[in-house]
Amino acid sequence: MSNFGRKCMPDGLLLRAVDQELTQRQAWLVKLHLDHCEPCRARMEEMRRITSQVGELQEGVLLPDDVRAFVARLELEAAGEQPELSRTQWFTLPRTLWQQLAWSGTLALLILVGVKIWTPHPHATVSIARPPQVAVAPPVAKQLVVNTRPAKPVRRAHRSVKKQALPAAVASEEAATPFFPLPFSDAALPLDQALVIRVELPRSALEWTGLPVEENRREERIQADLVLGADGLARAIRFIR
Amino acid sequence: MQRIFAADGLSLEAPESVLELESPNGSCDAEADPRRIAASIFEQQRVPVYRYLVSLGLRPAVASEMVQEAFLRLYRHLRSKGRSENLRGWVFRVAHNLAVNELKRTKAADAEPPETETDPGGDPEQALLRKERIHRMQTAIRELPRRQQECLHLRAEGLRYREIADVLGIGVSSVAESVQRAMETLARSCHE
Repeated sequence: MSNFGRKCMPDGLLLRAVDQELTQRQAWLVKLHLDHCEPCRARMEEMRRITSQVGELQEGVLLPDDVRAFVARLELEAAGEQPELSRTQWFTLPRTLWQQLAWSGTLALLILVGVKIWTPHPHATVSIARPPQVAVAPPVAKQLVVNTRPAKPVRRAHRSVKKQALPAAVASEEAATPFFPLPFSDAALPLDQALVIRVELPRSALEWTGLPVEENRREERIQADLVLGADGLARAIRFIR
Repeated sequence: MQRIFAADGLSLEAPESVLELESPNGSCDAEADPRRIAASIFEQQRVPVYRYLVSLGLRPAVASEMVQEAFLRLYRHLRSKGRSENLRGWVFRVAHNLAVNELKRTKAADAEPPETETDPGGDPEQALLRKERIHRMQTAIRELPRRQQECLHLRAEGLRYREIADVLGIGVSSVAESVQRAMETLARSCHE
């Protein structure tokens, strides 16, 4: 016989035997052991006694007579019931052809509305890329009003120009660069009644905005749009390709 | 007597007297009628569920209300084509959660022990000894940790370890350990 049969059994195993929670093999081994082990039999009997006392305690609780009340509530619930859909039933695919067409049409309409709403309007705003810092002093243009105020940080100028809508004339269909804020413009000045003027500049003016200029073409003339505020000061520039 | 198979391992005898429920569409298909199943399980399981809730510390009136609520939820569960396995465990779990919420709300966990029946007949001395034993056992159980109490009471209502684990949301081994510790404590207190 193995040690399992000789040594006394742990309480957990005996308790599981009392509760009939053992496998068939375990139950058989426990039974074999109990046949020859008086202490284990006594411990198991004690467990049965306590279990019985706890059960006695539970059974002593006075019970309410609530069956009729429950049946009445159940009837009431059933009478006024709305068919409650389960988690998987709340959405059912359309079965008939007209239902499928209606679903498809609604879905297509929703998609179109969504696309319309989320597509950015081409004339609504003019996005102006932030140019790199320009170290070169600007040459004087023919029609450019020179700002004598000290230069402000480029970041502020960029923000100011971007926030305010420009006239429709600015947004022409010509191939042009985005508007670059001029490094010497004063961002603190308001941009009400902005004016866009077309000017001709030497190609070297591209350097204001950090764009590359070929050395042998520096003197060529190129066209540019200048954004002037009501105060006559230039705020931004773009180059026409 | 109408036999209803409500769940695996839980076949229910539905007494005609209580289950005289009119079928909404005149159907006699008892298996498909959630009302009949809910009412039948209510008759079978309301007492164990009620006793368990009272043992958790709920006042009898509140426990009775909770039992009805748990079985109404069972009806809704069946009506919405919910799972129909182990409905006894399902009801115990719902009732347990309702009771825990109620106890948290009212902070009545240390309510007075439930009123118990006393045997009017028999030997007065035996009755006194029994009463004393019950009182001692009640006191010992109330001093156990909460989890051990819950396991012990559910076990006393005949739930298997697996079912207890489902009700309390813990592992089967935890259930076995809790029951064992509770039994050891009770054995010690009985010998004192």
